[in-house]
Amino acid sequence: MDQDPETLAVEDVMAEIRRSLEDRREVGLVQDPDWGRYRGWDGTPEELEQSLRELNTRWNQIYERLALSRSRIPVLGRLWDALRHRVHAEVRSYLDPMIYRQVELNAAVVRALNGLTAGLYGGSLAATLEMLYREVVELRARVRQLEEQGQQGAAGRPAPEEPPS
Amino acid sequence: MTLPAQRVFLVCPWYGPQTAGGAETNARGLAEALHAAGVAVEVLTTTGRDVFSPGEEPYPAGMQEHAGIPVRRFSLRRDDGAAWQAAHAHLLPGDAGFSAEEQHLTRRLFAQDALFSYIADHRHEGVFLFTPYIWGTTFWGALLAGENAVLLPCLHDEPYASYRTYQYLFRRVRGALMLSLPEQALARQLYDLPLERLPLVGAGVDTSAAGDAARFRERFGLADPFLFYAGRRDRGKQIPTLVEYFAAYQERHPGPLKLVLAGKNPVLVPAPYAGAVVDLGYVAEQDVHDACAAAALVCQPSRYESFSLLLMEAWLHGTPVLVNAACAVTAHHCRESNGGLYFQGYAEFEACLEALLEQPALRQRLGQQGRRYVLANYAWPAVARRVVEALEALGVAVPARPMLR
Repeated sequence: MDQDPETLAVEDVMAEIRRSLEDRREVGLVQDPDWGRYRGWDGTPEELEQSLRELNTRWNQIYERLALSRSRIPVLGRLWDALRHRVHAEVRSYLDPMIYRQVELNAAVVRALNGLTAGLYGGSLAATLEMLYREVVELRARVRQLEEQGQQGAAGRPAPEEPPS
Repeated sequence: MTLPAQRVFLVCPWYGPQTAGGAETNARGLAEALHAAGVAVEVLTTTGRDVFSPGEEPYPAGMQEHAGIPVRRFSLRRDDGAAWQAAHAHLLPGDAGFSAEEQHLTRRLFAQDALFSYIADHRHEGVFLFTPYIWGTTFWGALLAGENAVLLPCLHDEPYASYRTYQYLFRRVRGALMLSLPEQALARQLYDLPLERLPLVGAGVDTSAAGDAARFRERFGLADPFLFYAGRRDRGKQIPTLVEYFAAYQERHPGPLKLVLAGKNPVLVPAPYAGAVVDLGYVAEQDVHDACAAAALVCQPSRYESFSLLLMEAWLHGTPVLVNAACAVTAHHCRESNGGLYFQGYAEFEACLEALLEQPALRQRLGQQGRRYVLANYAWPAVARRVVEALEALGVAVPARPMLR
């Protein structure tokens, strides 16, 4: 796409952001957050937290795209490259499906562990239960109030008629 | 050889106004755009709702009409399709030896045999567009349609794109319509196909859609500034990462900023951050437009996209985006449009967010640049014209199209 001179190029904005980030990093102003804190953990053993963090960052770091360097030898180098590509592609056609299934399994395990631990350690499950408990209490109070209103109304009113058929 | 097409058959496992999913939304938009351009279109699909609602059949089997387009629905399959596949093993190469893993996805047939019989019986009556690449309706349907099959694959850079089953499929069909340049490059790399069989058409967005920020804020009771995401909410789309990044950002930059998520599947939010992350669940298309208009920015953290309609919707309403630099497609859109920033890791996410939130003028400028990009490239009539031209370049004589001439 031809660029209008008036256009603000995002590559320039990104370059500026990255430069500024690098400057801040050099003086120690850029620090990674403690990821364990953002997954519903509270007072868990350190090793368990560390393992979960690793699982959450490495569960899919298995699959890598095929990237072979090129030979610089003329003619024979091209033949050699073609052969290497062929062999690698053949091997990967067997490996990739297996790797993918492993990644799927890893994802399911990590999801389950995240969910379980969040629930165990005061995370979303506990919050949901707390919310539901409060709702039950409120609804009970409302039912009681309506029953009382109904009884008061019934005392001063004749019995309702049969509904029309 | 030129194929004299009488009709364009669009084959998609799910189709309907309530059907969620990017490929499905694109299929519906394309069918309507081609129909509006005077091309004879017929949709072949199932009675199912979408991939998120397995077993649900909100539509009756048989012929219906949606937005003036004939839609022929086939009941959902009740068996595993093993017998059907065994009977059609001749469609695969004799020495294929595809592993069980590679065949796994092609077994998801969804539709009953009648759909496949219909394709086989009518394969000389038009060109068949199959979408998306991954399901059995596309794999077996395209093999049955033979040289009359064209894919609209919505290809992602994901592990199963490398399966030999799909390499076989892509090489057998007449061509595949590409939604973006990075998708085209990926298809070339994976399947070693010439460019002329991978024409670039893009996807479309309804440029007449209006977004009402005030309506969204009132309807969902949201007064604070917010980041917005709509779509599937799972690890594949990096939504847990977005929630974690946002929680970390919130803690370092306390304030009223919220993260608003919309989509069908549940999302797990750690309890301490439940107040800052608003889960709307599944919302109507109009709500997505309204949210895009109301948001400070739209965030698309996914690594696997073939187009990303969400970006186009954000830009349509002049809202800038923040995307994952690891996704070739969304990062490409940002560079081409100059409508958004891209992050690699938390530090960049935080720095980009700071830059965008602290500079309303930057947000507005990027949003407007994005809007110009969408209007110039992705209005449905333009996409329909590119699809017809692409089919013609693939040797398909597309029938009457008075509106395009």
